[in-house]
Amino acid sequence: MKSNDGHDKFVRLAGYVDGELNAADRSAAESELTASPEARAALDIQVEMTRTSPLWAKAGIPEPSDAAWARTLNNIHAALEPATPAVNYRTQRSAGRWIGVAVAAAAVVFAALIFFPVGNEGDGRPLVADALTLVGADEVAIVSVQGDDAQAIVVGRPPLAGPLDLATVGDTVLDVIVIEGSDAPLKPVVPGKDPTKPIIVNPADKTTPVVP
Amino acid sequence: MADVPASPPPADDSDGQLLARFAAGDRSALDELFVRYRQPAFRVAYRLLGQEADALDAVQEGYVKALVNLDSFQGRSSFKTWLMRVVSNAAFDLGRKRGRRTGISLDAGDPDADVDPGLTTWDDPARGLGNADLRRALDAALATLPDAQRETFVLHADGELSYKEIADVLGISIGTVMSRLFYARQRLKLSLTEQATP
Repeated sequence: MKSNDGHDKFVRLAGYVDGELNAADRSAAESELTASPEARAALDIQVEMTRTSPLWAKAGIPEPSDAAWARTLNNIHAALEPATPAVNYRTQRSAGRWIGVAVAAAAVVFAALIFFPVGNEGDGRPLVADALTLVGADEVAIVSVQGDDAQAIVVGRPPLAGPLDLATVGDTVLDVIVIEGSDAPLKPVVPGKDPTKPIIVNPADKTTPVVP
Repeated sequence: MADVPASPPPADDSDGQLLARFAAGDRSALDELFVRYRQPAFRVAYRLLGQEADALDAVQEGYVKALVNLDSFQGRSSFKTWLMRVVSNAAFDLGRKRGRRTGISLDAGDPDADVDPGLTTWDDPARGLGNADLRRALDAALATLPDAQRETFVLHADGELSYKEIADVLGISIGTVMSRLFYARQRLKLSLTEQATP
């Protein structure tokens, strides 16, 4: 609402309820409130809509889970790593099937190999012409553990004899690939007939896929 | 895998100290900055996007951009205000890409006009609404605000920034901040009332 002189008549009431006015403006606002029922009505609305009002508190925002926070932080770390590959993994949140198992032993990682379909898809059968390694064993971080209430998982006695298979095809989902500089996300195609067999690569030779 | 501290660190390094540690390669400094500001950053993004997963994406992108472009803010504002601004921008960008919260264009005319600040006959907009319903109603009401009003309102209400901090990060006057907040609240009240009216 604007007054006849073109100035916003009650705008300072926002600053009044937020405690943002200097002494002179606060005094002017109080005079206005004393004299004008309209000003008092406007003030009521300002008070009701402040961040400290019961209304706002009642409509509070749900808090993300610890796993969601951890995943976000890890993604930030990964994005800020100098050697971060130009591929981002977006985990599938809704189904909760992106399961990684955290272990105490450091540097336990796994690699996923994916394959792009090439050729004519018109016959309904994706053709896989070549394998493309998008990430190495040391470039994938485990970001969350889901299920159960375990705070720690015992994996053996150090030193560990070799790499651990931390996930299988059945509990790892790669749902989208985003390549920097491209607006179109790619749908991964991961061939594998037996979902119970792992697609883990040997960390010592990350170009060698073990695909069922 | 980085561990997420359960609560803010007791040592209370200043933001500047944490940023210096981060620049020196101390990854734990980022953890502390994350815990320190993740909640207001998330609230800002959530209010602008209305969905947790998208809001977390915006928070992630905001932290990355804020830290990659530290040179752009240092000396002009605090890290928090800089972060809130970047997260807000990230949320708007994400919202546009995904078609959410289109809101009212800034070019659609004077957003501050024709809002009667003195109406006294409105019903209580919260009447009969549960928490989730009320949150949805507020989300819908926020979506009706022009972008500038919505961003200013969210930075204040959820980002917990002062008028001066908002003015600094948006490059506007404190008076403009006050005006946007005033009219944003008026519009929110009106929208909530309309939603609550059968």
